Amino acid sequence: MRGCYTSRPLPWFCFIPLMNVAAAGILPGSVPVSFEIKSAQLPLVALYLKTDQLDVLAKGLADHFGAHGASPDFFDQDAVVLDFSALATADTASLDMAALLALLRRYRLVPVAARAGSAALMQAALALGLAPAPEEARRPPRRREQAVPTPPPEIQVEVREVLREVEVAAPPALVITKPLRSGQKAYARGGDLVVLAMVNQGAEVVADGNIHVYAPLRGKALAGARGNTDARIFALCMEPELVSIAGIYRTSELPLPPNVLGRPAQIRLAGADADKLIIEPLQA
Amino acid sequence: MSKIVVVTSGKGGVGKTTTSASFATGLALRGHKTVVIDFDVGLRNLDLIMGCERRVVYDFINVIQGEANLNQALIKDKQCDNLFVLAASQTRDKDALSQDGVHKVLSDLSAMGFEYIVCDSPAGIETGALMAMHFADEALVVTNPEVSSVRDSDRILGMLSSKTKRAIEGADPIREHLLITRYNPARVDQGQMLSLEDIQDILRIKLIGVIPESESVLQASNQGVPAVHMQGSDVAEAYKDVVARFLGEDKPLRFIEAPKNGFFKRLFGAK
Repeated sequence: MRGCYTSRPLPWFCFIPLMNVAAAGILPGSVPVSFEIKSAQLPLVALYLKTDQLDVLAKGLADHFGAHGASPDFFDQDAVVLDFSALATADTASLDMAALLALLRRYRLVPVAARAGSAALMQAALALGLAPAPEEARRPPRRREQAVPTPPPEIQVEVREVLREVEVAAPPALVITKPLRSGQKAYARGGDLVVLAMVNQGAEVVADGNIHVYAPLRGKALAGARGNTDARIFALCMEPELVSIAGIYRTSELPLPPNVLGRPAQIRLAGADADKLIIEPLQA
Repeated sequence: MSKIVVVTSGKGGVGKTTTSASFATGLALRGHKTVVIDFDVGLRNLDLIMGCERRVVYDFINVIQGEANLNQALIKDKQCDNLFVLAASQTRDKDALSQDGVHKVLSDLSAMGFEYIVCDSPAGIETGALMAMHFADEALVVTNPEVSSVRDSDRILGMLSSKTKRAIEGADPIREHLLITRYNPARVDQGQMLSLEDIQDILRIKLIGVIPESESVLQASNQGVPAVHMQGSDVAEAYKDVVARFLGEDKPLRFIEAPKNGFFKRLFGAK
């Protein structure tokens, strides 16, 4: 059986930053009454296409999410980003974008964006009203049973990996030196976030990479916001409201164990599927 | 060049107006020419606390909209020569405050030789509160010893460091002072209130004073007298200390320990 969907039960958070009014220099008081622009986030699922054969994809979807499949009605108008990174460029010429979108909509998926496709694919996606999404940071290899039966030649893979490595290394860490107070938010796009002052309750720190807080962390911390399961969260005084790594989250409703609560600690993902949050003290 | 001080908190009912009145009066009693402005347009209270509600003819909004000049709208305090009140309008709403208008009034007051301009902010984080803090040089952040008040103060501190003129222009940041009001040391000891240490651990700004919980505040506001005038009361003394510290004097904190009940009080029951 060909797997051509993501098996991850929880969607990881994808951030679509909009223009921030305050950042654009419009002062309070001169904000127009008829509308207001704020930054917003949307939880997304990502669909990694592993084939350009729509009939194969249709059968795979039907097997899993069809009326007689394993989990019918699995999706409920979920926003989805199409990820073409697993398709070799040569394969994509025959892909019918309109038919693909129609197929996904039949399973109550709402395609909103596309990423990591060839120029032609992306152009076709944009023409059909999808938004271009930034390419994802490096992910660990997919699980074996999901591997494409006909893997591309080794050399091609090698080249692609190197290209991506360079891309990931480029964005420098975002360093915040002032306290983040309730209602404030910092987002390190594509890289690490380093905070040298406290992050209070009601504040939010988000990074596509790791998060380091050299002070009390009392607000929300979301590392690996675009799905990087290798991301970690470090804090000198760990007492967050919520922590999340690549969408796997834990709230303070379940208190942290006493050996890490309020102490120097790190949080990472572990387990075969990288779906377990491990919280452990930092050994000095 | 006058110094603009905003009294703000985020949360309502924590004692902003009481503090504005007593702080401005305290500055005037120390000989500084001071004006206190009510930014709570639509829900004006400061004139009641200052006991000048019957003398309000023109207000802040009238001045902003050019319907009156500052000399007509400023109300001279009955007890202090150096103190003036600029009342808010009760019939307009906060959208009547424009940034240019507020700026003009503040610079005109500065030109009139006022040393301190105290801005009494409304609760919330909307236009009125943003206008009150926008031009500030210093801020008194009024906080009660309870979690919701502390969190709202935290939000306001974030806005002071990002949405104000000094923050936007990258000038020296606003000097922030923490003022804790309604502090009851006995209830802190019983674990019913947050302690000074708890509050400072979260907010981490300099503490300028602690005002004890007291019945005399209610009495004072009902009489239309700023609490700092209640001779001999803890609250008046605490506000005088706040003003002294604001002016750079070094005063130890008072009224932060629960009174020790003596043997007879314990025997016959403390009131």
